[in-house]
Amino acid sequence: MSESQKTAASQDVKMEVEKNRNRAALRRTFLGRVIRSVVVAFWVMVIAFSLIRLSPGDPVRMALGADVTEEAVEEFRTQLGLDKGVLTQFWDYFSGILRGDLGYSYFSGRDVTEIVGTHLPVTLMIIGLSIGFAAIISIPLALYVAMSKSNTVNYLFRALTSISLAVPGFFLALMGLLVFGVYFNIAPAAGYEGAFPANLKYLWLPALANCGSLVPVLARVLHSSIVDTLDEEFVETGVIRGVRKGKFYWSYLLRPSLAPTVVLLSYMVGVMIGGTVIMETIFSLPGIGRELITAVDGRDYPVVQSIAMIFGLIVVFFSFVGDLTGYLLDRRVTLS
Amino acid sequence: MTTEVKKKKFIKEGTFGIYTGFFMLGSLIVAGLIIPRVSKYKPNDLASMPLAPPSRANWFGTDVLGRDVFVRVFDAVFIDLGTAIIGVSIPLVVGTVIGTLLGISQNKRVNSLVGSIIDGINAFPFLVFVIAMIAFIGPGVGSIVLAISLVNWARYARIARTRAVVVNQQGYVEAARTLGFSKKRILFKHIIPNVSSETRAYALSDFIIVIIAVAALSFLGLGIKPPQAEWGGMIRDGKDLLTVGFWWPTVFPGIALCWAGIAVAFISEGLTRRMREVGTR
Amino acid sequence: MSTPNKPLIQIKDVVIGIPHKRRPTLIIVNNANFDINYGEMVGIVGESGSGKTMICRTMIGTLERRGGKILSGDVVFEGQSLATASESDWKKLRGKSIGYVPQSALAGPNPVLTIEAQLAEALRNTGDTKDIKARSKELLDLVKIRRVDTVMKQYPYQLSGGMRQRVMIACALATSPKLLIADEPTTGLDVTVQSQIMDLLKEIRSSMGTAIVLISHDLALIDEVCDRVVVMHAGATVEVGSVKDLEKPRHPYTIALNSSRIDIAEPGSELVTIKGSAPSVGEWNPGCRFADRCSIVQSDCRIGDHPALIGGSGTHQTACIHTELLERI
Repeated sequence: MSESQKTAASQDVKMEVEKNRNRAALRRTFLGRVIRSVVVAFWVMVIAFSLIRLSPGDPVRMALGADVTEEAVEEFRTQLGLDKGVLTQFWDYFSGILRGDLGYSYFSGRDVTEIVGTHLPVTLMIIGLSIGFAAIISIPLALYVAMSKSNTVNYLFRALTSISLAVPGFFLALMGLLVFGVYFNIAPAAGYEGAFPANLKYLWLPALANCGSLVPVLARVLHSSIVDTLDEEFVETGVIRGVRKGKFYWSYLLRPSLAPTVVLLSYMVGVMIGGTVIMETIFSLPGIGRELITAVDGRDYPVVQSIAMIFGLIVVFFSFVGDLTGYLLDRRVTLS
Repeated sequence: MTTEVKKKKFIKEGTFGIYTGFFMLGSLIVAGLIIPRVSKYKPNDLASMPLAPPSRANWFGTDVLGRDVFVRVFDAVFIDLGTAIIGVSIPLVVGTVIGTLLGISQNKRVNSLVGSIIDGINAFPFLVFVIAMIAFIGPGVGSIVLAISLVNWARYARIARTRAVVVNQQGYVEAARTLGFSKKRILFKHIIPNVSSETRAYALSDFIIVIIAVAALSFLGLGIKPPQAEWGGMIRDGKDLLTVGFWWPTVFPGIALCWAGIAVAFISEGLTRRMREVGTR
Repeated sequence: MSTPNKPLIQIKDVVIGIPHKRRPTLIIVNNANFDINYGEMVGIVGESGSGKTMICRTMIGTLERRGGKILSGDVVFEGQSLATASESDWKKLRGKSIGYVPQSALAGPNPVLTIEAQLAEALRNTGDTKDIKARSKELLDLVKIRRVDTVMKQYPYQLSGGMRQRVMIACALATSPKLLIADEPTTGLDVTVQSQIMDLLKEIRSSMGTAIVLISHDLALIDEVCDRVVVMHAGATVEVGSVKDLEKPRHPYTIALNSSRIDIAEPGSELVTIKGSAPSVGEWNPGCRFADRCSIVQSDCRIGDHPALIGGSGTHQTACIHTELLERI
């Protein structure tokens, strides 16, 4: 083997090693993030479980009212499984979740898994639409303001985002109902109809009102992120390189700016997901949020506990997706 | 000369927002103090025909029970602002202390356990957690404050912990330690003030989320109980009439709620800009 | 390559300012004057705030992006006046006839694109979209990057600073430019990597005949690799000459720069620093802007405009009006 062949061969080996190392690093970060999500999800379950048990006062007695016999209270306690040891209770609860068994509604006697299964899609659809609307509104807005050199535009942007941050979603929804439902008559005030494209008619206004909490934050974070990116040297290299306009906006401005933004947003997405409860109530949409309110009114503890947990898991899922999106947009974003 | 120019700019930066915010908040508080006392209507008394539109006698009209909306809107100022202020203060103090202790603690086990609990609580959508808590402890002002505190301290704790880790390694803390000051003194004189500047700044923007949550809970019928005038509750009472033309019982309390939130948003924005201005110099 | 007798790019009495809505326009560069010939390697040296980066932006057409404007004078590239060139005129030049290597190797490449994608972008700019992949590999070979196939698929953060700067040079060379502008290309790189990059630039100059403008605050570095030096101080060119000419500087500022060099200082002797600091932009007194820091300053140095370069058409020009006193320093 000649000298040059040797070096070539050793380079090939090096290349292979490096490739594998990259792939392994990717797998490791991804796996690490999955494990972290699972750990948080576990704690979400623990906290949902603890809510009723750590509540001050006696939820059981409260549910039954003042004038019941001691036996009735004890019977209800047994029914809820609260008479057993805490560890046994937790084991029952936890293994139940793994089996897909969330217990029974105290009122309707229905399987909680079934209730969640029927109503979850509507809630997920509202959340998805809200995030979509928020992106459609915020991204062009943030880009426009960041590129604009006008002080007035920047000032207006700051003032308007401050104001819209302070407008409650339920008030926004009612005003939307007044304008689009009554005045223009293009949105139904209540009701819901099944399948996917048809139900958009009922979902667009709730989702639009719901994204109101997300838009000002998303627009602001993204705006300052783009302003930072604009100062970066690689943007100038992009200009000099003569990159096509569309590609320039995407690869040189949005992608590097969106990456840190989506990672930062998980809290506000949580607030917005909480807002779906209100939207479902206002617009009478059959999601798990409305079920939650009904259950709270009826002190249907197993349902309350399970739906709260499901909401927690939804947020865990979305923040995982957010981190992953950030990572795919910009590999420098770390996942841990 | 250049310093003068900078100073001028420094005063300008954010000041307008802060003044506007304080003016809006102040006028709301003053109106809340005066109007219910001098008005000829009582918040819960029949003032006129039910659902009378805004007129010279009833500036904001009357609600479905014939109560004067104007008086009720301003009668609600204190319960709404007060609940929100307490709902921010308790988690601010509790969260800052717990977070700081975690940040400087060397005990890995406690750190990771409490850290996990914090992460777990933070994973819940704020409103959902509060609603679920209320299911177990019942509605009412006290319950709201308790439920909000139980979820919100974790947010502050997370911010405080991150900050405390940084502050703890800062030169002045190291210096104080070398000088042999007591742990307690270092904690209260050096670490907590520097950590809390961050959590206090967050408290302002959190106030907006909390006041909206307080109103939202009453709106859902889980918060402050009627007949106490409260913005969220008033909006709840009026919402079904909104689509049939009676807008005033809903819109006016809604505007009052937005007014309070916007005031704090302006103050928070102004202060943030001012701090950033200080930071860049 | 035939090299016409005319210079490749001429900077003629350029005045650059940043217009402001309420305050008067801030003048950043005044009296900038020099030429660069085909295939020549020229260093521009000066302290920070001397206007060297602004001059460099003028040559690459990104001045207006940063709010700057050419107020008077002209930049002539191959006979084409660029002072009033439109964005579309610039699009035909920049990244094509004129290449650019950014200041910071760490922040220069786009962090979200692979090296392959960035090279492809630069290559597409030539208008020829054939064999992009093969040509990309050639470019990486040219800048002496080994393991080309791996590097192509990597993101900038996976490469070392020196590697990143090589990639940036490869991108700039994609269109075989006649002029390559390198704005402090070794900032933040350690000394060995720095000299490797410099060697690379020298080699490119000799193999491709590219004229290179090297901007730096390090006179030693420029001495080592360049043919000619342009010295800037407070927005003006104060001395222009070949590296050999500059061994006998004819401007007190250049003398001061020379004597503050570590590399040629006598062992044991005290290192001389330049007295005072460069006057801030917008706070220029009348007359020579170096007057306040100059040890041979005369009363007539402080009147009128900043002195122009003298020395006629010769290769060594200076803006000092009292060269006869230089021996006193």
